Amino acid sequence: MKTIVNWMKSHPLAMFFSLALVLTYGLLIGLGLALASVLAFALAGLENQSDLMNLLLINTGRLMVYGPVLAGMIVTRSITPGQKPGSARKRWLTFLIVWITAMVVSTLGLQQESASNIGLIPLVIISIPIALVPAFVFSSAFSKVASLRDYLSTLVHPRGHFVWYLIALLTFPMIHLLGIMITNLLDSNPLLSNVHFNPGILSAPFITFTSVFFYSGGVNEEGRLARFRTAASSSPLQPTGG
Amino acid sequence: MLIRIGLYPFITILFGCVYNRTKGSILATALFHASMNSMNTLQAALPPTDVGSVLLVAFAILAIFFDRMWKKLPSEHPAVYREQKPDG
Repeated sequence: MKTIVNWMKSHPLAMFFSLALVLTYGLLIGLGLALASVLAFALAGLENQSDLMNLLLINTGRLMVYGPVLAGMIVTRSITPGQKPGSARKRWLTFLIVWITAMVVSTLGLQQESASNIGLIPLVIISIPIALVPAFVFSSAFSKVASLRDYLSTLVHPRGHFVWYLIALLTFPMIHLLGIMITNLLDSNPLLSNVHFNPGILSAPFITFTSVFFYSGGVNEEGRLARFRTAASSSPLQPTGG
Repeated sequence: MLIRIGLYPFITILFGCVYNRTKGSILATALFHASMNSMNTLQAALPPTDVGSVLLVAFAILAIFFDRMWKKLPSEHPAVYREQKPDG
């Protein structure tokens, strides 16, 4: 064990990528399938078993994409395990708030993706364990381990000007809208002729937005950027997004 | 599909730009990612267009030039990884 930790200390980047791959494609698949089996067995009396299995597979995928951020956390913690006093109250409060929010998001996301004919209760039951993962990651931003706190600090203490957060939110919708307007202009059509917009249509994108934020590419994938980016050793043009 | 694969490098440049501009914020890139993916469910209201893809490439190229992304960030920039001295 000591040898592994020493190797990790001298090769943090290699360790991060190896661990991220192992966690993403190995351990988490196993864990996900085990969880799926247990839950499927527990819910065996219910109808729509195949739908339920599909949902459990979606959850396994959600677990898998947490590989990069969990790998980053493990390596960070192993290299610099030094502790500083932190607020346990903040940690548990964050854990609880994120757990409940992520549980609601997961339930609505699953309902939207493929489960319109499955009742709400099974979806909530499936969502309870999966929501623990984002809760763990967010609450680790208040960990006793100082390096872990530093690693995840930007999740709970946003850096930079707020305008860049607006840009992050609005770039893609604006590109789509401008694309439609220019296309219509070139075809001599009214500017918004093929935009079918009503307030009700926003609920699906909102659920997708929150679902991606917590489960499929938001916090889990972008978490790897915090420490194990390549900016120090190569051009910032090197792809960092996912 | 091929168009989408072709756009990935430009999308990742925009990710890099947001990350650098927010001094290394995970939250900003996570919001950016979620916003990008949620456009899939908005296709009925805002259908994707070829012009939109061209605009995305143009924004990425503008980001490269405005942020001089061919240069390394200064080592003291908050978005730049600093080597951690291992404990013990």
